[in-house]
Amino acid sequence: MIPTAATLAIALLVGALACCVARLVVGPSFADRIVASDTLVLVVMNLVVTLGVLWQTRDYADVPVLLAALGFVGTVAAAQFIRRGGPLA
Amino acid sequence: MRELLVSVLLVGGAAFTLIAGIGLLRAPDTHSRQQVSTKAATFGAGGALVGSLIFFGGGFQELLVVGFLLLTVPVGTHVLAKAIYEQHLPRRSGPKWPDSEGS
Repeated sequence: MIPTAATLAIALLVGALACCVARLVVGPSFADRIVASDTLVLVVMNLVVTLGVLWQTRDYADVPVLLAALGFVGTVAAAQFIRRGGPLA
Repeated sequence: MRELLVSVLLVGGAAFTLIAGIGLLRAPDTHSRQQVSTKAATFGAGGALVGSLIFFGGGFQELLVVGFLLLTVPVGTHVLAKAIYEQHLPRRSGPKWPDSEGS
């Protein structure tokens, strides 16, 4: 039962991943791309956790920790970037 | 019973994340896209993490990540929303927005 559910969850997550990548490519403004990459980090985290359950391994248990930390730092850095108008302003 | 709980949490988390992705594609302006996507994706990731926690019978990393997400996602979203607000991007017509000067 769990492998079926995990496979279904992975199929749904790949759809979400495609939506995020489409918004990342299309996005009219830079802010849209930041929002898309912020969501993309959460989708990839969800995907790694689901793959760990499907393969019944704890090898990838540290990946969500790093993704959460780096996703937060990246979002704040990019937001400050567009607020100040450049890297050195 | 435990298998059923893990399955429901995994599929529910993935479904919420898919809803976040669809909202990211379909929402009309940047504020709406952020509003739609961030909360649903956080909820979906939390569901999958809790499912993994139950599946492996406890784990330090999942608890750490859930707590960290609940602390940091609102902060990052707030900073990004202020940055988007100051950009004067085109918005969907609707209720009148306050001027961003002096905010």
